[in-house]
Amino acid sequence: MAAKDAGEKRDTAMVEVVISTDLRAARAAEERILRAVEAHGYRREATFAIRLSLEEAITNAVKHGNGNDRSKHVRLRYHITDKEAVIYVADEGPGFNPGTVPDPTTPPRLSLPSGRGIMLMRAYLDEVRYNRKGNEVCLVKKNE
Amino acid sequence: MSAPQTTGSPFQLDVDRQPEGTVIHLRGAVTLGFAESFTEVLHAAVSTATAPIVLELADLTFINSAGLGALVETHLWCHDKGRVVRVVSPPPAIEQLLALTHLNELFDVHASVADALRTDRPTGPSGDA
Repeated sequence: MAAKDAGEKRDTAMVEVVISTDLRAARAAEERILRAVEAHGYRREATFAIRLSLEEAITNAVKHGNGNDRSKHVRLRYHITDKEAVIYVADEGPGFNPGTVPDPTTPPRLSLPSGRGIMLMRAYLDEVRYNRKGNEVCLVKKNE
Repeated sequence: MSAPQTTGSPFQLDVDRQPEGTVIHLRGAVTLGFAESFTEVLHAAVSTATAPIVLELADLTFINSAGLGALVETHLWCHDKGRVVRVVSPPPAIEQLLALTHLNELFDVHASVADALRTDRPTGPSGDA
């Protein structure tokens, strides 16, 4: 893990954090990334968007990617500048095709308790890109 | 009255039983790793509540899709029991979230607690609620 203080406003190189497959354990990493975002002066709406998208990506990595297997890990890499926040979330799963995920906003899926994560990431961010395998997502939010 | 909370929980539910129904105030953030406990606490609160059940969101600062899923599950559970659930005063960020997910079409969203409770009152001869 790179030893950068994310609370400081520095345009550092990519910072990497590896966390266990545990949603509550991921909160410390999330808070660290959000401190870096706030230090770079992102508006409240942008910070909300980054927080929401990061939680959705981590949740997908933990539950669907790693199947809640505590022996596996989630790798976060992030680079926050005054212009944009770029965050990669990777799991150890087999990957998936994000193009096959159905629209959760139409009946009967509207009344399902899950399935909204990817749609929300796409709605709130400027870019959402998956690697070819589908086990790493890149989240991009511009500071506008 | 506060519903049972999880230690260190970033959210809080306060249950206010009124003659016209039950108002559940949701405060704080439903964040990573707390969706299950949020579901449990919310279910415990609504299971003993008298309808209509009003979820007041004015002090809800954040909720992720798992938390939204808990709201959907609660709504459906109450619907199956014939209980009305209404959502009141979502802050702008939460209101946008409900709109983007189209959950504002599933939930009955009202501007105020009084409005949400008033909707069930019988209409008198003069037409007054």
